[in-house]
Amino acid sequence: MRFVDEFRDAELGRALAGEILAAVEPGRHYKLMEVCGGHTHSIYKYGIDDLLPANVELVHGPGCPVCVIPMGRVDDGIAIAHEPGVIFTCFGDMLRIPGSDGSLQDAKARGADVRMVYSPLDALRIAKANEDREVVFFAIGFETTAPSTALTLKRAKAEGVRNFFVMSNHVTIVPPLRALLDSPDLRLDGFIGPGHVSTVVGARPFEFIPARYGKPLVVAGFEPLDVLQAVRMILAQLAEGRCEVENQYTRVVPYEGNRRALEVLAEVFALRPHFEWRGMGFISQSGLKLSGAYADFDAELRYAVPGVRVADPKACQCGEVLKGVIKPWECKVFGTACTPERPIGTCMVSSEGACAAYYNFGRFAREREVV
Amino acid sequence: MSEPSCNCITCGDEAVAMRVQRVDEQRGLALCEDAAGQRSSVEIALVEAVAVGDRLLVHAGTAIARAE
Repeated sequence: MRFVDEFRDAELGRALAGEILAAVEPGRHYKLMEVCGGHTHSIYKYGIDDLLPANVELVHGPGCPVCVIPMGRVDDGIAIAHEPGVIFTCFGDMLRIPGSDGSLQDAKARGADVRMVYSPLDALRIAKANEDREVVFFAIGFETTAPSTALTLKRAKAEGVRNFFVMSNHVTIVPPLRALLDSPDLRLDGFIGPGHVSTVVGARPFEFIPARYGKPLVVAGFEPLDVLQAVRMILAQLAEGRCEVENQYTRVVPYEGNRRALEVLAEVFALRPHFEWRGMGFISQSGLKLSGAYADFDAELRYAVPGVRVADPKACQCGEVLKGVIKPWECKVFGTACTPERPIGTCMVSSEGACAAYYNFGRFAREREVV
Repeated sequence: MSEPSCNCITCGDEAVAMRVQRVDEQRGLALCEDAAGQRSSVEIALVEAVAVGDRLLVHAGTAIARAE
């Protein structure tokens, strides 16, 4: 079972690259943002940018959930992990995110019971197997991941589990996009929309981008042909003077999203008035906390956390990278002081982070070579 | 879908296609297998009725869509 071969066909890829080349106006520079870290990873894994004309530039957006976690939240998580009797669970990449005094991995080395899980459901299983302990799940992710946390909380409530708590760091994708579009730093021509966030929220929430900001957006899948086709669709819109939301990823994304998932999210979560994003500051109504009906499971109500805002390290330019203002190799510490083994900034931690994608696929301090 | 071996499948905006092997309707779970033969238990509350052989898009232990 491969299911992916048809979306990695080299000949079709070259044909699409030819169509893209034919669609660009010579002398015009196109800046397209791929919102999602999964796209950034695919672009460098498959060398998609090398197939594009020199005047089509891909800019990397804020859609890597690990990368946007601010240091203060990591510190809060570590404080909970050090509470007596707590088993602290999180996804693997979170273990290595630096807080102001080390990472969760360092907290584990200092004696905290920190465990990696692959899903919130795994964390709930740990809680059920350790009734004399309190188990906290450090939840991160966009609307793709939030339903999984929500379903686990519903399950915990239905089963009467009393020793399971969630520290929610879930975020939503539309507010940071609006913040980016309102920022004077960046001039963009169009967006490659996030594929799997859209399986949950649908393509409709992105309609404000063409309507209010006059930029086309194409929701795209993660295989090389998906990304190339999305670029071609955006360029076609620009060439024809159209500006709308299109869905390239129809094999998975319904335009209206997943109704059941949206209902579960509305039941279990409530919008925070504001939430801090690394490098982007506080963005209003961009974070999710547990709703009143699930307050008994809220780790932030159960434990005292410092809740202190911690400034990013001075050397780190993750904020500029996340906003697409600079390329990863333009950061002073990229590939020297900051590497995937010893990250300073979040973008170097997750494989979906722009810096890690550049580093892992050999894009060091150089302009791309155009075929 | 991209190979799970090199992607952050747990926390990014990524998901993997998995084939349903067994369905436990009472618990709302299905045993699924990915392209590499890895098996795991998956929440199926967010997708329409699931049957053995169906292909689901799974993210963080939850099926978020059908993969056609």
